[in-house]
Amino acid sequence: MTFDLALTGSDLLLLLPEILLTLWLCLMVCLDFSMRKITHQNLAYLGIGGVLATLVVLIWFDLTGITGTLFKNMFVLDRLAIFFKIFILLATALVMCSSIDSVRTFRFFKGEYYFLVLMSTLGMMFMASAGDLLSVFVTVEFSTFGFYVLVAYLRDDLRSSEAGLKFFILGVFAAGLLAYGISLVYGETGTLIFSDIAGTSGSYGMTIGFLLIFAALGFKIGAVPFHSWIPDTYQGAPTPVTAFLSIAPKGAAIAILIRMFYVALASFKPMWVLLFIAGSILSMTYGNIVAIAQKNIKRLLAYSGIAQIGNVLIGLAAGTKQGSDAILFYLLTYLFANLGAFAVVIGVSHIIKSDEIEDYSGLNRRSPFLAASMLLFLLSLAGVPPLAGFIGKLYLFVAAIDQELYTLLIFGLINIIISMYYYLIVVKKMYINEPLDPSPLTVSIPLKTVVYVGIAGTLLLGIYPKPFIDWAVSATLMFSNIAGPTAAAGSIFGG
Amino acid sequence: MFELLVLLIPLFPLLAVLVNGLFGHRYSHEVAARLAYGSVFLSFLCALAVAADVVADPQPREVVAYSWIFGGDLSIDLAFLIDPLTTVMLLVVTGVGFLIHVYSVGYMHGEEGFTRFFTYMNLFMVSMLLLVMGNNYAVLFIGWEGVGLCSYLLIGYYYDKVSAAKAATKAFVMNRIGDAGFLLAIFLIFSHFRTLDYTTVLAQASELSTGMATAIALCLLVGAVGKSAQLPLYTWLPDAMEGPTPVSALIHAATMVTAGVYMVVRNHAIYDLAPIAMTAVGIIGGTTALFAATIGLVQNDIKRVLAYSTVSQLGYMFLACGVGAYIAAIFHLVTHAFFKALLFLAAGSVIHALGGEQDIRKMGGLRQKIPITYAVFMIGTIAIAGIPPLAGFWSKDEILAHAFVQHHYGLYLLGAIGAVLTSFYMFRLTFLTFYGPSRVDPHVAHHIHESPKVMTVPLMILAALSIVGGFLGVPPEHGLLHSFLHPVAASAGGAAHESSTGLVVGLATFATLTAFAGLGLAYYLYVVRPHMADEWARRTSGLYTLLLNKYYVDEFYDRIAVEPCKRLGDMWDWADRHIIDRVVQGINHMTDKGAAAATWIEKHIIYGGLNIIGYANHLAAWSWRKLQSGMVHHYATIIVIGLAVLVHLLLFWLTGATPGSYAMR
Repeated sequence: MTFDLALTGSDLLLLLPEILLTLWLCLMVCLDFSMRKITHQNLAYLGIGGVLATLVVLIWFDLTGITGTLFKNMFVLDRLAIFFKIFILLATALVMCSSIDSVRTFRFFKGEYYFLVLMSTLGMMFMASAGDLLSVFVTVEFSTFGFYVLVAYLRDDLRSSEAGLKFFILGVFAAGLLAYGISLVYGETGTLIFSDIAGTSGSYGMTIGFLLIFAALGFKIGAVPFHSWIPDTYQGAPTPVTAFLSIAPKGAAIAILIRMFYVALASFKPMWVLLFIAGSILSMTYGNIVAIAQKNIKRLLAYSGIAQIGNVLIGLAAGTKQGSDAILFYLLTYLFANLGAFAVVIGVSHIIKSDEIEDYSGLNRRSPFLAASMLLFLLSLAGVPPLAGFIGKLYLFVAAIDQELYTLLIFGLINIIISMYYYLIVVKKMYINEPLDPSPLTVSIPLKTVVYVGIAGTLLLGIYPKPFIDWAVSATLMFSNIAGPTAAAGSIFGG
Repeated sequence: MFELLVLLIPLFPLLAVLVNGLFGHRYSHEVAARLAYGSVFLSFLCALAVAADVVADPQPREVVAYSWIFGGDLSIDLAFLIDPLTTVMLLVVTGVGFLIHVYSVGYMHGEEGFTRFFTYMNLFMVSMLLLVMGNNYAVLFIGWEGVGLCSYLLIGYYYDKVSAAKAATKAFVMNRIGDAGFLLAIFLIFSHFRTLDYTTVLAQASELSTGMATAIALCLLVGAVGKSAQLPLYTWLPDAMEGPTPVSALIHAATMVTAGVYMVVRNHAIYDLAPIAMTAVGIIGGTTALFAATIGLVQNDIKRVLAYSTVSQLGYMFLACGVGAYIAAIFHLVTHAFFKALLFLAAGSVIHALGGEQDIRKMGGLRQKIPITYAVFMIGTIAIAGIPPLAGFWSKDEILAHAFVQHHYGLYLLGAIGAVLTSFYMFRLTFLTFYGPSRVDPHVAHHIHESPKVMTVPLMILAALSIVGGFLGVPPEHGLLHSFLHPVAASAGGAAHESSTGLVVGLATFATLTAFAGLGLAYYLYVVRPHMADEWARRTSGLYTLLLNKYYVDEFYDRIAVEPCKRLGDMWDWADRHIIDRVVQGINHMTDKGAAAATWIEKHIIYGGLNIIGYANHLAAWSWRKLQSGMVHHYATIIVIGLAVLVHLLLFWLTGATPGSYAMR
């Protein structure tokens, strides 16, 4: 196999977002090292500017319909990729904005923080475009390396180091699984490119191969049973990093999952549908039930995230165009509610230096703004109408119904009840309990901006979701022909 | 014009929510209150105008606000359906809602969080209006969840009460159980009709198979049971009394809890196709009516008695739906809204007069001290007890007559016994509160005062409505309400039309007699011979304790559902916290063993050299230590290798191939 690496001008255009962000990164590093006077805040704003500039380019791509492939399908820029790139950049911008307060308290390497965030972002953007298994491996590792460092960023904090270490060990393990899975699939099919794999048939090796790849990606998104690193890592990492970790890599990994299973492994659908049904039920149930026992808000959000990924997997279990539409829209709703909730956590822990749920007592009296926005985000996560999360869940469930996955539907509904319980525990603390310390809490302007964006997104996606649904629908147009009820899944798990 | 009026109805309270919610802290309580009840009053006026329009032309009309969800084959509008049923609900919600808002201005006067209270109340109005106005199940569901949320926030309104917080959570979670059923029904409806619009679904309902109709109807029933506090999901409602009294009146008596009844009536086209579901509705209603009434007999908290009475009265409405008497159900819903709102607000006035006391054992003899409250409370009691010609008599009698005429004798019996009990416990409540010697704490006694006008005027209006409200349905079966609702909620089986006048009059006379029997017994036990009641309680102490403890249902639910769930969470949490650590320790252990083995080999077999032993000791030492950043890649390598081996083994075991043969392929 030879690669024709000759790039033409129009090819370069497809890489423009990545190139732009890379150049911006280099500029930031140079400025950080060369200009003594530049503060980490200005660096942050500079980084956000770069992210926004890249966003503008991507939105221009989306509106004008610029798409294409590079390097023999290794790099795919279609509307799905553009959707996920915008998603990741949006998350990055919000996370950087909410990092500013925390970075101020770091003792070392303030500037490098933003550099690492942007490096990971770059990796994830490539993940969204990965069109073959080799680039899947390279981009997944590329993006994760930044996170290894970020999680352990609080060098003097034992917990942060421990979190980083656990994440690293298990992350490398996942990488091993991924590499092994890829090698098996290559052994069976003789190709790494998704669209070429699609035409082949496979045997046990193929099955185990994609099982291993699913395990590795399941690790990234934190699906049960590959979730075990999530709670410790989320708790130990600096909170903005946790926020970043809880949304961006999940989005990127979901992009790969969709692309791989919808394109490359379409002929194995009856098999992987079962995989996703099981993964979904396990993640929802496990995440929600364990969340009840949590005393720490970051751990609570970690388990809630595991459960939310279970919801996302419902879309993959449906395995239809509608399923992928629903996933895309759901991820958007999750982006706003989740990052909003984390922004509140950052704002609170910045002042009270604690992440214990107990310390959220009486938050409503200390800061009605934070309490009300947290309430909104938690309700959206719980799927209460008319907030964004409700419509996301509605879409996922409708996709499941279309495939007659009634068992999955019932599990989903039961889990909605369970999740309500622990979200309400937090709400109860904030609204009903007495504050231990009644002094008012104030929030910095960047953080407030993130919370406002979260509120706006949560409300807008709930009350006027049409343009976003249209966007999600058009991003997955290429899956229009992947319809048809799956007989195997229907007979085993259906009604 | 009509469209605008319809859209304005929920819009006014919504605006008040936004203004009070965002800027409420900038101006005085008075302004906030005026905004709150003013907006509801404007809604009421719009509702009146809409009602006038509907009376002139009862044809159902759809008003679309905008296209809400649209994508793929899922298309939902934010749309309202205006028909006679909606109109009746609109008038009740805005009318009673307005009176309760006005009352609250006096009742909540000087409370901390006054503006917050009214913001939640208005938000509740918006949700409730969406619930009754929606033209599809999705809008219904928004309202459904919205009222639940407001109920949660308002039950937990008093920060400092731990019991309030618990009650609020309980209410929300129990409602969520019902909601799961409701959502399942919505998805079943969608999977069958590919739309959620009432107009399409209910028009095509006759195409449903009996099985599907039963499934949908039963799932809807689960939702209705949760929201309307019927067996077995009723336990949250009595606890919900922890909220301020106007909240109990508005949400937990007059409006929100009747949403389940509204939903069943709205979907009666589906229920008519599902006899099994109908029977279930009737049985749940009948048993709840009796069951809650028995608990109400012995409770000592004035609001809790009223709460159990609400559960019981809602049972009557379900009973009515179960026998196909949908109009009678709505009729009772309306009259109940009048007299139960009245009773709660009057109870609030009593509590207000006694400085927060709710225990009826510490009341008594209040008749002369708060005469207006006494008068209206008495009117409410007579109305609910079913003594003619007050409101409750007409609606309750109609339900029981329907059950009897349609040969549901079992249900009739449940309802009739419940009616005696209702009359008894309500008069017991009245006599204990207002008659006999005063048992009020002495230092509270001299503070007793009648409530201000802002509270008593709404009470008097509601009392008037409780007296005349019944005439909406007079003559029975052919009243104003019946002819108005007939096009949308006609009874399934042709109703009691064929029954002879003699039978109807006979049943009515019997019902009146039973109501008087309850009154007489209560009068004898609590006024004539006050010590007799205690005597009876002692003699039947087992039954008395059982009733006093509400049949231990709460304890039962805790034992079978709440505790196991929590324990499972704790257990899995423990596993999550420890398994990773164990894995890490295990690796440590392995490394140590490996190091020890290496040490042994090195020491005894190969070199035996001191420096090598030193190196091995060093190796063992770091591997024992807790995880440290320096050497982590070793552990990682070990995991990868170990797992790779495992996966290989698994693979060969799965395929039944030997390593060699696999490699050859």
